[in-house]
Amino acid sequence: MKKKVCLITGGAGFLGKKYCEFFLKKNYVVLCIDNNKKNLNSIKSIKSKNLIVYQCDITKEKKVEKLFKLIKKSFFVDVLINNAAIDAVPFKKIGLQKFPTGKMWDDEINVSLKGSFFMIKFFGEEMNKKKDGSIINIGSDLSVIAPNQKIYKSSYKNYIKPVTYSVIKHGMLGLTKYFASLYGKSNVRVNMISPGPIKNNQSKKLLNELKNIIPMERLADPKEILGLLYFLSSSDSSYITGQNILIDGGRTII
Amino acid sequence: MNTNKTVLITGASKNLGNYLTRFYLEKDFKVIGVTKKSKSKINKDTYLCDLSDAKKTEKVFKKIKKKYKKIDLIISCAGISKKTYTKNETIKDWQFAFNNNFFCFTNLLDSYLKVYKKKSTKIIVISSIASNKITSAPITYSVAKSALNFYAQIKAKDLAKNDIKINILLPGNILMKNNNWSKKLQVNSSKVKNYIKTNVPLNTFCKPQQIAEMCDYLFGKSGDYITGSKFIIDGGESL
Repeated sequence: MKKKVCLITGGAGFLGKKYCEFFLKKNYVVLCIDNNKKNLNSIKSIKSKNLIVYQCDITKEKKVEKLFKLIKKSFFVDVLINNAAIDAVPFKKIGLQKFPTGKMWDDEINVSLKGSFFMIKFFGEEMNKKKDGSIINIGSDLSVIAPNQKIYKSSYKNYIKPVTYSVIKHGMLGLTKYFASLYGKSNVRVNMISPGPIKNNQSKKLLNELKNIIPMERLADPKEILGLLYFLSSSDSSYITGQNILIDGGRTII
Repeated sequence: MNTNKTVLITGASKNLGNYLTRFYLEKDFKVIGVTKKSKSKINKDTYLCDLSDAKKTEKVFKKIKKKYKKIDLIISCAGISKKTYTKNETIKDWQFAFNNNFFCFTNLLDSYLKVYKKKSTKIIVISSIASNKITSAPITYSVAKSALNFYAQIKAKDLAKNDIKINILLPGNILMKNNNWSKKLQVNSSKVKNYIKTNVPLNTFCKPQQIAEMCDYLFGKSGDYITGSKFIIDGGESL
């Protein structure tokens, strides 16, 4: 039986690497796309003939097109996971400096929104032609709620969550819905996964702050995100499209 | 094989409830059925109860507790929509819709919490896309389902600390033998097909199996961090 192919952008980062390992275990051919050389070197430690690593700056349309032509020679991508993002860590600034500069704004939007769009433009369009495929965009609980700045202020001493993060995650939902309706008739499904905070060596103080605002009183385990990714990749979710699925311990309920 | 797992399904004798009963029996679950009028033909362990009656519901839960010390999954499938849409709904119509689509769940949850003393479980509430989108469904049904969603979400937030997870499924256009869509297809096939083509991006009906797979996902370990969420399974109709 022919192996299915999963392409993951930002595949060499903290979560991206876990996604790659998971889909390899599920017997997929995994195409890991990243532009961070250090992370790309680290992912090469995964020894598998089914893992293929590409360096690509997805913010450049020509480079994505070149990547698409190269991959098309050997593979049809069954599952596209748009995971690449610039990590918007809370930062400490005062006055107008608490807002990102125009360059930061452009850089972050270019990777997450424009980059995801270019990937869908080429790889999604190919799915559209073949009338099969699943696209999963990675969002956040901040795609539906505003950040609780009190958490960052007390845990990081007056830091705030950057505005770009919220705007991008809301934008990812627009991208998801747009392509879900465009590609629906071709049986190409487009969904978004929006996790709440995920366990990743956070400080004790931040962990406690977060637990206080999550009804389930704990953070997500990365494994819990993997199960949802697999569900949306598989035919078990064949009637679900255009949805933003929150996996957040109840954080955004009401 | 899941011989140790128990699922309670309400509205178990018809349509989706009947399908889910068969689905979980095939997975070797112990299935407890609760139905209003007729007993399930495929599951012997079925209890008759009008869930819109709080006292009767508590009584049936006490009976179930004698046999089952733990319920791992509850699927609230009970719900009825009057087939005809009327713009002159009466107080009786509202009572009918709320009794059969809202109170049947509030009574179920209250009784479970009381009888099983807030024991950890997962609960899946079957709602409808009519609760989220203006459709041709009766207003009484749509509003009752909408209230159901909000109630379930408030309870999910409240009960998270007890490790009771409540999630809501909002299916669209399920096609099953002898259900509303199947009857509509028999009456005017081309009109119905055209409706689906025009309104559903995936251009198909929802299959009951697709609802069952979602239940299965939420029941599994992968669903352990999800509570209070609404899952729209409608082929993109409500986009």
